[in-house]
Amino acid sequence: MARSTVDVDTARPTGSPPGGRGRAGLGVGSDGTSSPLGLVLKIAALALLAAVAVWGAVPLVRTQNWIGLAVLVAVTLLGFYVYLSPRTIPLKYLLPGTLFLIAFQILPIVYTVATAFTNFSDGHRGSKEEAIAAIEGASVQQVPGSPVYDLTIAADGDPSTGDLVFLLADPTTDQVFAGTSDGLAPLSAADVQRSDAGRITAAEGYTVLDVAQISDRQDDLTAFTVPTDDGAIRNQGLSSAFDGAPQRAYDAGCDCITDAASGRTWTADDGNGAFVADDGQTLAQGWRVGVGLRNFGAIFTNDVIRSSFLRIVVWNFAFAFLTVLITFGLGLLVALALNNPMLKGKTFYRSLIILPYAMPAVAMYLVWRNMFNTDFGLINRILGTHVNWLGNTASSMVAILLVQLWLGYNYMFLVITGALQSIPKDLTEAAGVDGAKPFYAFRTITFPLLLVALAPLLISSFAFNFNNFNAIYLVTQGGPFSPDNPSAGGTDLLITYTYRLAFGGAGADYGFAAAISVVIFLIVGVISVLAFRRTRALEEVN
Amino acid sequence: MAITGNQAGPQTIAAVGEGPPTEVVRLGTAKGNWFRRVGWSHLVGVLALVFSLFPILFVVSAALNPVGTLSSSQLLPTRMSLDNFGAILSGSFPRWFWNSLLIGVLSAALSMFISACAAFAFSRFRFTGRRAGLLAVLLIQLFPQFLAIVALYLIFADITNLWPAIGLNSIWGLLLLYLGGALGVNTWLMKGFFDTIPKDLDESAKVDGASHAQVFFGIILPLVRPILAVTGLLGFIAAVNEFLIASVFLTDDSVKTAAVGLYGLVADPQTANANFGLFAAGAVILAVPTVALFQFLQRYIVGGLTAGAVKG
Amino acid sequence: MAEVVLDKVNKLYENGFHAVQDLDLDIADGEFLVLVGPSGCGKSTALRMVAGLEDITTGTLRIGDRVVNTLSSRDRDIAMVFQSYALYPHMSVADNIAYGLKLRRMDKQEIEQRVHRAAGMLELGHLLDRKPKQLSGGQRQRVAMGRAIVREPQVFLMDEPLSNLDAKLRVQMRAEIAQIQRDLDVTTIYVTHDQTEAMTMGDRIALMKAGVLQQVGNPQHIYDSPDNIFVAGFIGSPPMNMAIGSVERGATGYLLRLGSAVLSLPESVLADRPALAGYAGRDVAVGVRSEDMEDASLARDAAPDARIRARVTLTEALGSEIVVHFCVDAPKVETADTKELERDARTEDLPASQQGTPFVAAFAPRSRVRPGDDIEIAVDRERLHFFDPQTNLAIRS
Repeated sequence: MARSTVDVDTARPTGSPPGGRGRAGLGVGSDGTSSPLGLVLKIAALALLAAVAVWGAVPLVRTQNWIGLAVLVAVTLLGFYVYLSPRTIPLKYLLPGTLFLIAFQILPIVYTVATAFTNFSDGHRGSKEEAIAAIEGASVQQVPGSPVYDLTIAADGDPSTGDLVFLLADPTTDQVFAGTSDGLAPLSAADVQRSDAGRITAAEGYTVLDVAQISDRQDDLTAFTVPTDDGAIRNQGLSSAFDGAPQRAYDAGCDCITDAASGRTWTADDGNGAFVADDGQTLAQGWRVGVGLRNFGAIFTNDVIRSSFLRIVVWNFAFAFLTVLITFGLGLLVALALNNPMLKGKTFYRSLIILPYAMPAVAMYLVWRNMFNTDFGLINRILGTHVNWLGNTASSMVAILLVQLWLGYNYMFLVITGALQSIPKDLTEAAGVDGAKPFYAFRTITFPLLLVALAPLLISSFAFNFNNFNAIYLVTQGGPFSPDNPSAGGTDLLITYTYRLAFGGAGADYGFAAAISVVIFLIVGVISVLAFRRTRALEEVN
Repeated sequence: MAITGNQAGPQTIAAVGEGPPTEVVRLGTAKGNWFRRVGWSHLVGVLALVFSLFPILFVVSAALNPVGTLSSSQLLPTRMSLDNFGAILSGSFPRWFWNSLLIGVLSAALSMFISACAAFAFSRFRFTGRRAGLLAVLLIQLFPQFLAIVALYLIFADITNLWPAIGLNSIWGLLLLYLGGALGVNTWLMKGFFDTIPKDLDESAKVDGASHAQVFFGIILPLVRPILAVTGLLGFIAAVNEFLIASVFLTDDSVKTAAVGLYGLVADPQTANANFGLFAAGAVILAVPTVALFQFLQRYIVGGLTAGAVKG
Repeated sequence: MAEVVLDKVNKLYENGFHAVQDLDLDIADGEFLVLVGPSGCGKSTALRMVAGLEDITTGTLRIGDRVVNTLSSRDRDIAMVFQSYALYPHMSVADNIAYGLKLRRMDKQEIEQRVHRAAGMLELGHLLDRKPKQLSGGQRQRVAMGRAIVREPQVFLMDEPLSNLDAKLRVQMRAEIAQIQRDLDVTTIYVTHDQTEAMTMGDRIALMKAGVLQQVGNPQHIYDSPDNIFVAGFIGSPPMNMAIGSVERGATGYLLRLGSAVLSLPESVLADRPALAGYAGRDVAVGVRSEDMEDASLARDAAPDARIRARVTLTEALGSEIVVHFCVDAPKVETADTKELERDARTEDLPASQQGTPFVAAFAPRSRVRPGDDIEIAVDRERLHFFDPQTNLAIRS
């Protein structure tokens, strides 16, 4: 990304003037450029932009990503144009934010919507060719007579991200090889250290992985093979590997995969991105295709999903609404109490009461979760009970709302205090003179004015809590879960549900997760537009 | 200007708590009267205080608890030691804390600057696309970035292949991502504030010989300091507390933020009990910068939040 | 120092509003020109175009020898005083005054000298360290002036600089600004909607209405011979009395019939206004200023055919004169110009209080008229003004 964030066409007006030019006031001295410092900063920023562009271009050229390169060049040229032209003044101020907005907010939204119409998920990630290659690779079986190598699993560079490498020792010939996805290359004996049994323990230029690191990369390992003339070398367990040939092969004629041993065939189904046998059995490895509205349809047609989805939507609304309601209620009570003109020690109360608002929320959610712990939690110990607070849906909900109240009422207290103090004193005094009792005056004058002033903020608060991932994920993780549907918990919000579908343990279903994201977009969008229509926000655009 | 200090200013609802006039004759019953006048305020204040403080007290107490387990942590510390602090500071936590500070400060400062620039353009210039731009910003801010988490992850997976330095498992990538939300979040709030600065000031400066940039940096920015303080503080708190994207993006121990790292300490219920002291110590350390900033900028905050409320 | 020349300058907004139409103005070097007119007449727009704060749609603007249409404000070498003063709230008085000099990267010592000189001139010396918030309205106004003076520009532009001051201070600052302008001898364009400021301050007045220049001239000339009904009604306080009358050719000369009154028009009136004869038998708008009428009982020598009769509705004794309100039984003048004047005075929505036309006259303080009296008013016929009620233009030659 172009990092052209700063318009440096400036210098502090009070900055040190170099050698005053005496009578500069006649318009002769000011030639349209700003101070030399401003000019230097501007040149430096544009040079930085150019440098970043070059840095960004290198990998694009290397991978021959010409479209990416074209975009990079266009953005860089745009940057130069905007900051060098004297005419594009508003753009000078808008460009950096707009570029970031497009790259990291608008594009992802577009991408999300596009993904929602695909079957993108584990097993349906890549193209059909990649799926075929993976199926063939995974079906490799040992070729009779070929060697079994002592295997050491390593990585080229960083243990968690570097390409996998098989360090192989042939026990019969005592030769050593490095096997990569490009093929087998002999290693010099001098570059490797070997154990007594002959296994390689270290090799120059590679990082040997320990068991934990290997298990982190199990998926990579499963898909990894070293191509050879006959077929491919693949691992058998973690310490040996064999040279084998694929048992399954793709035949373009019938657009199908045939298993050499059993003779079974799986025919490609381009609508679903999978190879399907006559009896309906599909191969795990498929490819990514557009599936139209199927993901959205599943929300409403799949019984398990539908029931949990509706339940989640209802709770999601209730959660957001109740959070706003209780935080506003308690905030109002405390604000009224502390607004009492005869109260001493206001500052003391105020600065301590708002402390939770300043505490790091993530940590405090976790503190609360642990206070609700069944065996060790503070709450059970204080109450002398042994209740599994987070183990049942109803008490989980209450617990979460209590946490929300604690974290949120301080904020409401602050803004209500501010709003109270901006309501003209004359109004309540006039009501008092008219004979209204205090509570009546509050109910008929102060409270309606407060609501008017704070309505947009309450709407924002609702919209924020509608997607309050942290509150749910950190306190209950969406749980408790019922055995019949482990993917949707009792306190799940749509956003935590989405997160679990995409990144949870049970295999990623990006397409479905994206579809739910789109549904959230729609819900939030409709609510907000309806709400903001009633406020002045939209009018202010004009 | 929408700033109203939160210091004890003019009291607006003076009527509340004063008894009705007929009460005057019962001055003798001083106790009941005291309660009606200020007692109830103290009662509500004290209860709110207790509610606000007890989890904080608990986490501080747990941090000082030498045993360091959840089960042995009390509301009030029985014995005190700094063992937990020593232990957490010798692990990965300093690194996480530093990452959080770095991301928090940079993302708050840069976001503030980006949205101040945009607010200046929207407030001061009339140009084609201004109305459309404002509407777009208003709509886009309705959609939090993290809703597109799936797409963001996939996009950054591609970026990682090309530029690992700004991809997954890099705080710089996360920073860029946070900056993508900058324009949406604060531009409206700031524009509303900028609009309250009379245009005469810009024009006067222009006639005096200032360029548009000199007007922005020399005249406008110094005058909007309160809103800069508020957006900066809120941006910092938001970045430090961002968990969803950070937890997906940052999986290497060395690049985690404190929020992600602390979560890891107590994520597993099996280890939560044993690690709770460590976690609490980390939480207390993490709270120091935000609480300090908050106290420091407190006088701006109510005004800024209320301005946001009024401006939508 | 420089002259300012506007040649056929137009301002047309995108929404179609034509704010300034074909404005031609020559402001001589060192001249103090007051641009006056009701709000919305385009005077501020014209000033802002000179300042470079509004684009000029068509036409040319020259300051000195340079056409400055496309130059930015900073390069025009002008200084401007704003109605709101536009003091930078975060800077001290000294910094406010010095700001323009610092932007021009002037030598620090020279800045200091100039600031002190300007501050001395405006008696701001003791306030240099204060912030604008700590100053009174009058002091702020002086700082705004100081900021303009210190620049020693070719042109001063002032946009209603006194309208935020209370009446007494305004009178004082009026004189001071005029004095400073004379001392510095800097070409000045001064925008106001207050005709008193226009009359008292400027070397010349340029009067605008609805984007169109109405008349330019020195104040007394404009007062004495307004070119049209609008100028007549706008300049002068109280405004010129006007009613519809008709010119008739009588046995001995021309007569003016004004309601039930008939005034003879002396030869000199027609000699000065040859075109008036052509209006015989037609309606004209007749204007008479308050000081050109007198209580007939004090002006014994006034001819009987130079009098009108009316009933007094109100008197205001000011000491130096007595202001007498009465109603003339002639129809009101109702043209586009009078509507514009009513809009400016915000009287357009008031109900018409009576039949006929209210007049205001200034009598000598010896007059003893009381409300309700039926009196005779002597009119100085030489100083009557005649306008064509169709075109609004003065009837002259």
